Amino acid sequence: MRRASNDPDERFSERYAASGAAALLQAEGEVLGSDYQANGYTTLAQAEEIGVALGLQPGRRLLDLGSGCGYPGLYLADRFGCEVVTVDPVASGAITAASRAERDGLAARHLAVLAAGAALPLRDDSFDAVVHVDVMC
Amino acid sequence: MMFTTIEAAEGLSPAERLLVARSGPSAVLTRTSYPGLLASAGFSDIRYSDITAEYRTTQQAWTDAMRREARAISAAMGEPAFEQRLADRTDALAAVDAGLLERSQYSAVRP
Repeated sequence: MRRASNDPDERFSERYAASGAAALLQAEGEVLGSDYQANGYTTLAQAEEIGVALGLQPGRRLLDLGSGCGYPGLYLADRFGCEVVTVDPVASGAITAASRAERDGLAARHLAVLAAGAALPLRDDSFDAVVHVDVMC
Repeated sequence: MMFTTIEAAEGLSPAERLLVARSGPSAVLTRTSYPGLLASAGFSDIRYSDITAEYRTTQQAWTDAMRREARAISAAMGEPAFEQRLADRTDALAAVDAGLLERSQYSAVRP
């Protein structure tokens, strides 16, 4: 039996890869109401509240730090019409987010960045809003 | 800015904080409060909401779903990862019920 990885990058990469399986997508739908390969605790209703609180709208640019496969950033961009940059240090997460944005017709308003929060390759003052869900824990 | 985080409850003993470190996410313990960090980074209008009850509901729902679809989810994740994840979720639920673990939502504005 193969052991679960202790390396964070490897563990998250494995987790993101598995999150696309039908059984996990079904569970995600039941638990969160979403279908973004998320496995956290932010329900679609909570994401909606975040979008309202941040004043997201067309023309605004959102930064979603540690977005994994793109949630909630991509949902917020789709729902509120804003631009979004999703950032995650795990390549498979960024790739999955970019694929999902393409599929949802959001490619022109989305950029997936492969980076860690401690060294963001982004200019200061280039975002109107920032969100991160359960990243610093 | 708005963010959520899972953190140790305030006023815990060293033994309880050790328990939280074992049952919560990997970086659940912080040395500085988030409002303090936000203020020192120049943010203002710092607001906090306790969303532990919602977190407990969601964590329980994940646990139930994993147990109900154990075979299919274990096949997708691999058995070791599945068992570890389920144990993590169960431990977190126990820590919430013991008043040790909380989920918080913070918002702040940078003038």
